[in-house]
Amino acid sequence: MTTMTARSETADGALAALPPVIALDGLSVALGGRSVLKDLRAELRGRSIGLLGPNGAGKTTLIHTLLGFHPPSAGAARLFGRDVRHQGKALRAGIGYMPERDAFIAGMSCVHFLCLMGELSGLPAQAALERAHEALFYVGLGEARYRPLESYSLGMKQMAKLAQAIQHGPQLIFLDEPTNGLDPAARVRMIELIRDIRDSGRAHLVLSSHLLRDVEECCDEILILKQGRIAVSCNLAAERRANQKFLLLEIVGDQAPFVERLTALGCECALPTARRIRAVLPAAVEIRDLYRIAAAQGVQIRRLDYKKDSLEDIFLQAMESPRDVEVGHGRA
Amino acid sequence: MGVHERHYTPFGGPSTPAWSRFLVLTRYALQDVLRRRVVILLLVVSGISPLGMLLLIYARYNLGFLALFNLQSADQLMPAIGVGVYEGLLVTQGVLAFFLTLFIAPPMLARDLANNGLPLYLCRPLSRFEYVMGKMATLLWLLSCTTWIPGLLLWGLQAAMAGGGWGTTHLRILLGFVVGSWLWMAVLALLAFAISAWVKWRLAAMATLIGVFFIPPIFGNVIDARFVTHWGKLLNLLELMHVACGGLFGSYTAGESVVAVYDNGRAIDVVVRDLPQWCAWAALSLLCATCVFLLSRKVRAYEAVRG
Repeated sequence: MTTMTARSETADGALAALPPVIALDGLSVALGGRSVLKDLRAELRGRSIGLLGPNGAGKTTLIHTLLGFHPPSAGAARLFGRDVRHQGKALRAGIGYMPERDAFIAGMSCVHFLCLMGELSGLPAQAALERAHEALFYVGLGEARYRPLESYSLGMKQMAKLAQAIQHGPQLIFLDEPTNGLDPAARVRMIELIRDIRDSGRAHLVLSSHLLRDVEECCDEILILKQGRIAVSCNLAAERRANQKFLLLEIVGDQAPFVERLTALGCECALPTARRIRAVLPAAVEIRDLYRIAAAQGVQIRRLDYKKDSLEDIFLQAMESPRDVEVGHGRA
Repeated sequence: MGVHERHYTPFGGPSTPAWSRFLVLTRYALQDVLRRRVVILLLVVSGISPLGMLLLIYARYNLGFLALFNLQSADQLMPAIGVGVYEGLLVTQGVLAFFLTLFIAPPMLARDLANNGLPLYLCRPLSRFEYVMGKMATLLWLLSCTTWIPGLLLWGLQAAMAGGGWGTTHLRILLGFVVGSWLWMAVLALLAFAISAWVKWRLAAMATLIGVFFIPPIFGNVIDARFVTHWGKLLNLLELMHVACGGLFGSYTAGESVVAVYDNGRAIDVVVRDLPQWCAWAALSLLCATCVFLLSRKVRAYEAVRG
């Protein structure tokens, strides 16, 4: 056990010593005279990073800035410790990008398209051809690889976009809304592929999505943006581990004295509605204690449910929070 | 990531040199262009004039050939091959270069912009300049095959066959042909690319390119007629090219002409000066700079919408 802990600490120390995958240092971006990203500060080290936020929060702009498409108006952004503004071209050799919008090169077959993209990323022609075939089989387009891209369905185009993003074996892959427009089966397939890439341990992923389920299934760290600012930046896995279980109680009767007694027992209570109580119980308190208090107060417990803080809760809290800025790891 | 393994694996092999990446675009664009019959046809047609001139030069300087017709001198058979002939060849090849540009350039950029292809290119180690150069190199290579390369070869052949220092005394022909060709190629390529970047529909881009050459001269002529001047020629690209190339060949000198203007029924002679060469060069430079500016505004991964 001691050895395990020591190893774990060493591993954590080594991880901390490595430059973060994404480091945002007061990053601001203005587009068309409008400030889109405002003073972003965070260090993200996860294998798979989820970018969340409502429409217009700045997720895609952040990805574009990290790719060097938009220059920062203030501050800096670094990938693996290298500045995206000054070393962008060198960085992009090791980056894969799957754009949100429909994007393809017309007038060529999918395998030809991937060869072109691979060669532009620095692969020799022979290797680009080999990896084009491999990538297309990997994403499930093996049988359709000689068809012109224009003839592909939306789902097939999404897969082709993923294939071109991973073909050259990048160390960082940006996926912008990868499940957009996919039917349920195709969505499952896409998520499986993303998880497979993540589990290979050979590439970092940045997944931008407004679908919480996609991010929850694929990511271990999240950055939630709200109106161009960071609302939450946290390690999802650690957050899940740290989150205590809490109870959701639905009662009939006078809520106030009941809550007062629970608080006196050491429970942390929140009151989402007049009939509902969310309570975190200390280790010493058991469920039957709640029933005893309820009986004493003349309160009926109609429903009692264990709940775990989900990404949805984190997201909703971030959206409801009046505070706009949260720095570093930890929730707003 | 083998076909049979179906797992994600990074690429561990050697990479190609960074400077050569834009040539990948050139190679792929060339493959695409040479699939089109109209381009092949134009390339074949563009070989006819140089071939004819090659035969002329051969006939003029080959004593065996002249002896076949019992001729003492080639002057009895044909006029001397000098500045005028090379200028004529440049005009012929320039017209073909225009048609080649018309069919090659618009689809190159317009298709990528219409299908949101630019983010796919620019998310790789490729700058916007390299992207444009990669595409433009295809066009410039084909235009070179039509214009200055045949001109250079013909001049070299004539210099070799004529001997007697013909090459050194006619260096200006070489200068005029090569620099004139490059000027025409630059104007055509930049104009065609700038138009295709802004007009994303191929046919509309082709029509616009034709319009740029033939509509402004109409306004230019109106200006010239109304104000009794030659400054309206600044709107005529072909005239500007004629002045600039004529200067390079040494065949153009800005002169004066007298135009009769009627004022209340009385004829008044007005002296009108021709367009000076520096004006033609300045106008062409301004046009090229404008095209570069227009390209830089449009060739972006994503456009920022103002507001």
